[in-house]
Amino acid sequence: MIAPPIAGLLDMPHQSLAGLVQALSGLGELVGQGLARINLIAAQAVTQSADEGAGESMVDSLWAWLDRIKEGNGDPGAGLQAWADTEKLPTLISIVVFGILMFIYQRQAKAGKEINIRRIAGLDALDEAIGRATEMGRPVLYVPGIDEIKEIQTIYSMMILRHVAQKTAEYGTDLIVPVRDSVVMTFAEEAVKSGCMDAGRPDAFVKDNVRYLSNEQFAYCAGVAGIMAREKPAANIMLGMFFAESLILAETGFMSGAIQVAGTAKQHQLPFFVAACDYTIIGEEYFAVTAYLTKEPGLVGTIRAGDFTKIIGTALIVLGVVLATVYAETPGLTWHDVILRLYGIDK
Amino acid sequence: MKRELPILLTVLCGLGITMAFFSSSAGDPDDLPLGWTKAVNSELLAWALVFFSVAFILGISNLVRISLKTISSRGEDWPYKAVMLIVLFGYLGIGLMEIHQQRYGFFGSTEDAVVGIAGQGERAMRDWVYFKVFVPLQATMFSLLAFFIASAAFRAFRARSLESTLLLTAGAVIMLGQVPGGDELTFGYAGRALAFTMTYINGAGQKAIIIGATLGVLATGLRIVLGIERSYLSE
Amino acid sequence: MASVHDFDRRWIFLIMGLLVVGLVAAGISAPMPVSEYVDSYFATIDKLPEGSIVMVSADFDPASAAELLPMYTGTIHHLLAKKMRIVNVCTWPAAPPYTASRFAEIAPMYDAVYGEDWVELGFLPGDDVAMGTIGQSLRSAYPRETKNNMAYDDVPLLRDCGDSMGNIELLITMSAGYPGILEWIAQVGGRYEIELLAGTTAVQTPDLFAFYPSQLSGFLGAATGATQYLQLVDDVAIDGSVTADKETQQSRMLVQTWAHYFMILLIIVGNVIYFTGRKSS
Repeated sequence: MIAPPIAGLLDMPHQSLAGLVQALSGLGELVGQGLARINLIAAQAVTQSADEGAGESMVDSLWAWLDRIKEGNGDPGAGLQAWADTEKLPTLISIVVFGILMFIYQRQAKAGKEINIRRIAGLDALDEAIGRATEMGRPVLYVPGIDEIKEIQTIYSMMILRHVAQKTAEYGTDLIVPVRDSVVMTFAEEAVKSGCMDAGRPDAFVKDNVRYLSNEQFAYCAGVAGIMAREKPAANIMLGMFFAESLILAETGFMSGAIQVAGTAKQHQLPFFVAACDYTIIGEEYFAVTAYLTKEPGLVGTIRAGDFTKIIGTALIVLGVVLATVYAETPGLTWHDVILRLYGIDK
Repeated sequence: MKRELPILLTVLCGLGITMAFFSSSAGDPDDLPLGWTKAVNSELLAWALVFFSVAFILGISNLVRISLKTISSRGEDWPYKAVMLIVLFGYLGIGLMEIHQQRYGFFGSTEDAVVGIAGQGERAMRDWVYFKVFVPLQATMFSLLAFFIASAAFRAFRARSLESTLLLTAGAVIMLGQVPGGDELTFGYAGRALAFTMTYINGAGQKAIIIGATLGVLATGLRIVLGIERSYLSE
Repeated sequence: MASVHDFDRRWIFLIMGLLVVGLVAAGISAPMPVSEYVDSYFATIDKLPEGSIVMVSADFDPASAAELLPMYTGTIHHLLAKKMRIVNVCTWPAAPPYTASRFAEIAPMYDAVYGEDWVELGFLPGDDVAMGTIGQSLRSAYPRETKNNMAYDDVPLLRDCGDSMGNIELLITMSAGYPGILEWIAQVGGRYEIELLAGTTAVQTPDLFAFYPSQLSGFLGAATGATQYLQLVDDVAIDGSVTADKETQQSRMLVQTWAHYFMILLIIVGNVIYFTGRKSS
């Protein structure tokens, strides 16, 4: 699969690339030899097990056992297949494993075990941005994305909004929150109100500063750009689900001279934020934000469970790549032959 | 109870839909032990659709109420709110009139003839407003992106560090490879580099970000379904 | 040397504007090579047997119509030319006027009969929930079609669809954002194992490489993808009916070429100013 593009790059006749070409060719050859060696070992294993007939029957009996669990006595309403969609079982198992890990790490965190979350530069910048706005006597603008409340990124954005509202209330700075969705507006009002309460300053909540602009994407975008141009907030915080309006907002914010912190898990808007904002919270960092800010054990445990799942996932991906490579290159070799061989179970 | 009921509803609905997703679809749902979960799922989806539609009515009524209040008290920007209400009900009126005319006839008109300035056709007036007003307005806002991207490129793509140099090099290669002239200008290499970058480098990066973000979504989803996460109730 | 930040960026806007307007007015066009993804999109439709039912979802609005409408037009031509039957749905409220006008223009060219060869089910609110409902039961999602308000079972094509997605061979989405491709993959493509094709905007295109070819059988990315696809469709569509659209797209690609050159020039100039300024300071 990877060969044609690399070959394409190697075609480059440019003299200055000669060294690189040589290095890549050498590396390619080395990898090729390695794969050929694995193929050879695997092929020998198959031949050997076919000769002896032992490995084959073990695998067959394993499959037969699994089939019995799946189909029961063969009746339509019997066996596991009557209860669950067996195709989706791997997904179910993964979710259950993840849930168990989440539970374990949450318990550990609640019991007082120290779970470290690495520093997220974009988040440290939040306080800096609010502080700067306070010094300049200008408001902070918080854009919670343009999606509805059922979007998990919007829910997270509301949690962060509460933290931001707490800070602005402590510093006595105005906080403007333009929203696109009427339901999100209610949540945003609640979040700002709770933030002000947390700071012990319920009077800092200004109802008119949480503003519904428009449900239409670009009308909303024009509205926010208008606020940036007219009210000149010193800090623009854009956290949530963004679409095509991201760059318009970020560039308008830049032109108004504001310090900008943005974050989203929507990967195709990230390049725009990276290019136009001072700090960007990228992908899954976004989901670590609330845990990082609140240090709440339940959330911190969730982050650790996610990390552990990623390690398991990475190991499975590596195993899959090895299997796919070996399996694809050796006709007649089945994946369980390869697993048996790789783990030395094969006779 | 005010607090427990929404949590209970969330947990029940979440578990119901999850069970429906994983339960067997092989055969008639009536014969399967968990067949009822499909019916529950179907019912919940139908309810969700109804809620979405009712949200439009709620939204409109709220908008009208707030706008009328601002207009009557001559509040800030009240003329704009008046224009908004005229457009809202004007377009709604045109739509209803056309649908009525199409199905039941109207002022003696035939199926194809529509009362109005916009010519013939079953939805001529609606389309006129849509294509002559709404489309140009929205397309204009979107077109602004071209200018903003140009200015962002000028300002932000600096070779400040190794990472930013990689970013701007990749950006330039993709821009060249994406267009026929750019590909020819580089004797076809830009196109090849584009294919390689997008398929392998971008593809791998995208998958990594998707896996990470999905785990975040999954974690929050599980917390909500199990009633641990209550921030959606403003707690 | 003046700082980049002092530079009045309206000059850039002016040059970009003049460049684009000038080249659009010139209307020069040039063909371009077809990529693997576009080829796969075309082949997936082309290989389906005559009479197959294909669901096309228009998930866009005017903002992205410049990129997606040519793909949508090409796809409708392609499907009708190959005698497929089309069930058209929309999950974006602003899409139906486009789909209605496209079908009104294209269907008569192929003598396609409404209700038999194509049917419009219109907009369904609810985003991904709407998609889930469509996947689970098309009949409960759309008890009536939208053009003539006929009941589900009175439309021959819908009768042939049955209750669920089982009889639908292929799902094609023209997607500008949320809800769109990812939601179709999650709610319908993955759950009911239906082959999926997509057309999308430039911004979203990089996302799709992660899903090709396992979850997406092919895709058209931005104006580039649309141009390549129309070049292919031009050979199967009736009496050169997409030739004009194809040439318009090809000329747009020339405009895009020069806009990209201008952008690269900006990046180079920006860097020269940056390094010169850094050296002098």
